[in-house]
Amino acid sequence: MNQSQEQRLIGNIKHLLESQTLDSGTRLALQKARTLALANSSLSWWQWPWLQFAVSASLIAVLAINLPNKSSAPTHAIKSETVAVNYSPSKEPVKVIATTVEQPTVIKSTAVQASVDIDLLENLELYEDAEFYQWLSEQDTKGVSDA
Amino acid sequence: MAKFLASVEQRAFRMALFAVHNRDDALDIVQDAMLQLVQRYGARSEQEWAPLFYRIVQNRITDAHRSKRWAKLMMPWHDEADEHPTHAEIADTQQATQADQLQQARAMQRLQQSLHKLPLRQQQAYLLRHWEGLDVKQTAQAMSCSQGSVKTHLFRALSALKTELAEEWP
Repeated sequence: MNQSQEQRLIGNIKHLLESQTLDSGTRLALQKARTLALANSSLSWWQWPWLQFAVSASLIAVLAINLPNKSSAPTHAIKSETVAVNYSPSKEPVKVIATTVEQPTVIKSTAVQASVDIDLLENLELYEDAEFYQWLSEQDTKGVSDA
Repeated sequence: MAKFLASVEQRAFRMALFAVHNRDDALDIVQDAMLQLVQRYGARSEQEWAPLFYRIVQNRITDAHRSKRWAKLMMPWHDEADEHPTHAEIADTQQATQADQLQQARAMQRLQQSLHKLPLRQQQAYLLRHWEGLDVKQTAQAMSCSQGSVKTHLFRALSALKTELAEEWP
């Protein structure tokens, strides 16, 4: 088939297809379908961008709150220092353990808070002892300077 | 969008009718394609609408063919003879004179038979390229195949139509 024959055939077929219009019932049905499609042109609720953002943000928030604290770092730390106190120049120096409790900066949950409270109570005596030894050390220094 | 849909709906309907031979099925296909285009691709640029719309139409036609094949397998006694309206039946008969009508109806019937004889992909390629006026690239997009395949389908369709319609248009 040469080019002109081909074009003529295509033209004839196109002309024939275009020459026939649809009956009024079909045209009306198509018009209804078009109207229906255009009426539904607004985005579906799941396509609203702000809703997607809100859902993801709330999911992240829920996860952040409910995830268990997996960090291995202690919520508080007890610093111990060995201090040599010269009670008397004639005697051997007394070694004192000074203990301080560092307060946790952030307490994540009530369970962690409770355990911290218990630890604090346990260390209270040690803390009082440390105060005593501190006082003792000051008295000793004072005594030496007075002498 | 309304303008675009109005410009393509009749051709899309007739393409679907050529493929599925059932007026209601063809209407469903076009309605579904319109809905999907508006909802899914309404935000795309206007140049993309035609290939996307015909892609949806072609997919629906393929789905309809598949379900028909299944129905035929499950119910072989089902007669489909009453589901074949000719294009003359749905044509508006008030526009032409009686002689013209007769001649056109005969030519149309012949063309319809020839198009029906074509394999579905050749029919789709021909109608999209030479009736709807999509270029080869857009036709390939609409048919979800390569441009080479479109050219092959077109060549075969044209050869078959020329043989079939040799008497009508020598």
